[in-house]
Amino acid sequence: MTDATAEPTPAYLRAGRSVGSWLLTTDHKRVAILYFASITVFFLIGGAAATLMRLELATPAADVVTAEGYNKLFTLHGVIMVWFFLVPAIPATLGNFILPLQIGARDVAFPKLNLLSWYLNLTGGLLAGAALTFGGVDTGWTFYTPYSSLYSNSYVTLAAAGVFVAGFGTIATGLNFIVTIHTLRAPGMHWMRLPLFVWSIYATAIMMVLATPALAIALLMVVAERTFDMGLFDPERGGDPILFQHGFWFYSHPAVYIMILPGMGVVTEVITCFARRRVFGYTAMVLALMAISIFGFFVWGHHMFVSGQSAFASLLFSLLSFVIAVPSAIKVFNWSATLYGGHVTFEAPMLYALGFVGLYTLGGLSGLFVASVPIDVHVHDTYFVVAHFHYIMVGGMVSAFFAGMHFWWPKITGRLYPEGISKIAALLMFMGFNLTFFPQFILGYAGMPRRYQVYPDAFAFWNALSSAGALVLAAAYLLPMGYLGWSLVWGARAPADPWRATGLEWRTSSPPPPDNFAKQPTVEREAYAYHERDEAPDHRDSGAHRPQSREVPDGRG
Amino acid sequence: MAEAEAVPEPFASFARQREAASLGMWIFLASEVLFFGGLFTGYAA
Repeated sequence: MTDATAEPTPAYLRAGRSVGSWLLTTDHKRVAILYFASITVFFLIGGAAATLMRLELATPAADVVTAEGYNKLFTLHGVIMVWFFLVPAIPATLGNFILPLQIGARDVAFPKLNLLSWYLNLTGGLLAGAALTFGGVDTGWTFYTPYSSLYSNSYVTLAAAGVFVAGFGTIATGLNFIVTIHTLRAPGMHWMRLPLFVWSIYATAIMMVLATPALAIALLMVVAERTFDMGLFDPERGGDPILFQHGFWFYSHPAVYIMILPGMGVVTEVITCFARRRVFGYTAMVLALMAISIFGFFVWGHHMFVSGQSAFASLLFSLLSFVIAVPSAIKVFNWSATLYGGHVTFEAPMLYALGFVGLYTLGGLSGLFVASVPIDVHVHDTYFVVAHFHYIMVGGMVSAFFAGMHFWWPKITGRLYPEGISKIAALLMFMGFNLTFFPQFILGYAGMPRRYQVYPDAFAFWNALSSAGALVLAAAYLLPMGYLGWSLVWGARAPADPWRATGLEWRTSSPPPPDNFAKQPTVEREAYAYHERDEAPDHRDSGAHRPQSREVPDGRG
Repeated sequence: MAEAEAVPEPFASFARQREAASLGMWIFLASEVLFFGGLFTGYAA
């Protein structure tokens, strides 16, 4: 193992040790670390709320919190997890860190705006956190009117203000990424040579910029209604309570893709690397990403099949929801085809990535159930829907986040994590997740509504199973925090390219210097050139850009 | 060379920096149009 101290310039981690050097940094890598720190705290808060909810639901009776407390718990869980963990998780941490490296840039296009985005996100998180902890909010993360605008006596305005402020941070991040990809690509890095992680961030950034304003409008209208009593959602004064749902879901459905598209990018990087294989159908993968980001704007009405919209609108939104399943399926088939004939090895990032493919597929297929109007009428607002979107957002997105964290951990920290225990954590997460959420499909189909603290004894068995799974899942989340933290101090030093991967990020030292590259890299080949086009993928030493080829501790290579 | 050194990071040339600044402003304006357009339409609806 070679010591990373051999690098010519000090790594970005040693570019300044004071608190000010971190809080005022404009280095995209340090901003990524700031995001990582804040979203970890938010994840723990949201996770603690989820644990309390599952504890409450372990038995049919109310025995942990009051009914009002339960309402505030699921609101806290949803608000924190969606806006302060899931939305920024991959784009703002891995995207911020890896995107400029992958395109051979020295930083993002607007480094100061990048830091401002973090402060906006943090300010929003603190406002929402204050609202949710001082008095709590009981509307659910969806803030549905007229309950949120007329009836709720909780801190709705403060929480909405928090989400509103964080939204502008998201827009700034999206804007920054779009401009970065357009203007800072290294010589030779044509659009069709971009790694698919970059494409996924690009598609995500477009959605961030164009969808988030709709959320800002919807929340601003709720605040205006509560504060100035404008009657925007009051039918007696010419308002429309459904107007909020249109605005909210015009953002929040694309937001699902804001959460999942970067995960698809991560998984593509990981699967190609650990199958030593060119990605199957690169162009189709790019088109699928862009198709999802465009069609994602036209399916919001499938959240409103039972809200009183016209039958024709429901039919149209149902059809469009089926259409968006096509590019999603293309991606799953292409990942499978990439694995076919590859030299697959099962390191921790690969286990997480394969977990993503399975869980995302289940989440996506159950999405077709709820995209069908008759089935949705039956399962609307039941645990079936809860299970469906957790399969996408937790099973899919969080698995992808952990896959990316493990994959790029050596690059980010300059340290190698222990491989054995990380594989156990990956398997534990897959099992814990299924144990927690698969029973919820059954519960929902049997008729258990969401957001209830008590339930009939008939639902006790599946709820107990789900709560037991939540404990396994909690352990699976805490385990990486332990061993990744351990590796920061005691982990072996990482070489520049421990996985023998092809991206430009592996052409610089681990961790990279503040300016990313000692000299401007140029790109001569397409992405994922793990083998020549006319050769089988078992030629492990052919093709790819390999600045260093050191032995990896687990014997790969 | 002296001029190149004065170009703010992370750009390699002034032209590219100006291009980035104007693209960034157009994207910002697009999001603002959606925001205020949606707000006024929502109020009028």
